[in-house]
Amino acid sequence: MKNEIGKNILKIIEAKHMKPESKVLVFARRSFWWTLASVLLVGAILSVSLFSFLVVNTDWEVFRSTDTSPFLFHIISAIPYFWLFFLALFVFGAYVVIRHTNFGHRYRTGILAGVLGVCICVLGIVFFAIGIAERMETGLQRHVPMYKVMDEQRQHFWQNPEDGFLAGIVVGYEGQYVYLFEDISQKIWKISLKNAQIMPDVVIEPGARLKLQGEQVSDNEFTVIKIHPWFPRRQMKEMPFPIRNTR
Amino acid sequence: MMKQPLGCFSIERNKSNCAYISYMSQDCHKKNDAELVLFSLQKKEYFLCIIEKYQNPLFRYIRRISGGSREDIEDLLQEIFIKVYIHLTSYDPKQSFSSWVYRIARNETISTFRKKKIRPQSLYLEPDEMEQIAGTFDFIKLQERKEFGKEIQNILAKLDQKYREVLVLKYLEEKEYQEIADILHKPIGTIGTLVNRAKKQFQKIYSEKQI
Repeated sequence: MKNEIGKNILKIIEAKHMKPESKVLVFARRSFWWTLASVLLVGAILSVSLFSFLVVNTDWEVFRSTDTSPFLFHIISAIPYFWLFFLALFVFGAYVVIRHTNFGHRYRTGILAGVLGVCICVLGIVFFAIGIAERMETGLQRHVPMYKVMDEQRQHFWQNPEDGFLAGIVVGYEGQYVYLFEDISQKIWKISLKNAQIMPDVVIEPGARLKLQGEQVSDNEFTVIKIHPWFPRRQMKEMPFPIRNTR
Repeated sequence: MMKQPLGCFSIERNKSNCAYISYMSQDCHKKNDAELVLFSLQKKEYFLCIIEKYQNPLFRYIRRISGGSREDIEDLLQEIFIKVYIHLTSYDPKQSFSSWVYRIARNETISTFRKKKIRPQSLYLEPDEMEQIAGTFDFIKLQERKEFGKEIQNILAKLDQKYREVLVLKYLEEKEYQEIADILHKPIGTIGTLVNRAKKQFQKIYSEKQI
């Protein structure tokens, strides 16, 4: 066998004009995997930041002050599972891709998972703190109809007029303190804001998404006692709206 | 290093193959793997040095993990070395060249034998290899080690592939844990676990046969 295989291989290499891959191709292949890992990590960071944004902007005080359902039920129903699912997907993807790189197998599983976990959480919270999550959330709700529907479903606690909760969008102005309001199920209500307590950062104008606490007075009339913004802790920008409370 | 004259490779192509190869062989031994890779990238004839160095170890390794026939393994070796040549540029000197070549050989062997849907019934081991592997298991008594040789081949063939390959790499190829980790592309901790589980599975099959 000695030399025979070698000679045959060299003959084949010569006959088929085979050459080692170019350095550019090797570099491109390595870069592809690291780029993919980076993209997945950014996805995971954004998922953490959006998850944090949605959790922080859940109406925990309202849940606590009502006795319609146990608090644990509200916690379970308020968790943004969508972003939790994407977080798991991105982290798993990044982990697999990093393991696939040249020396990826040399990192200890615990250390790799720990470093990834800490980096993703810290950067996710930083992204949330500097407002990237809010901008993304607003953009997604504006441009991705499916996402808007999902968010509304998550807020189903507020689609309960019999118990005094209503969520939706202001669609028109009817008269002094009376607005037209379309709820999540697309039913139109006349809402009366006279004597309503307006929470900080609430802006009332057609197109504004709000959550209302109050009392159903007829099939399509609702007297508002408290008005909450859709995102309680968002930073609203100053804009000339008919009614505002920016205490 | 690359500016060194290529020495024996300046020999004319029309000289006889034997003279060419034997002259080159003397030159091969003076160079380490990393140098051979660099020279092979410059001049493909140097690749013969790599083939000469690795064809026998790889032949034995493939035979140990696949149980294939000599002809099958020789065909496979040819494909493996061609693949090694084409991918030479991707070799990173931070890793041992031997581990890198073994990894390519291992992947090619598994994929070839999987395509052919062949699972080894028995692996071919030399008598000293059988004793060598029997010697690593405390539960095989000293006097049984020689007699048990043939059984060892059958037991190895019956092991799950992941266990068979770590035992072969650890006790027959005598690779370090880090090298095995590089060949199998698994974390070093996983290799330790696999070796322990492989020994347990080996012992279980051995005990069943004893009964």
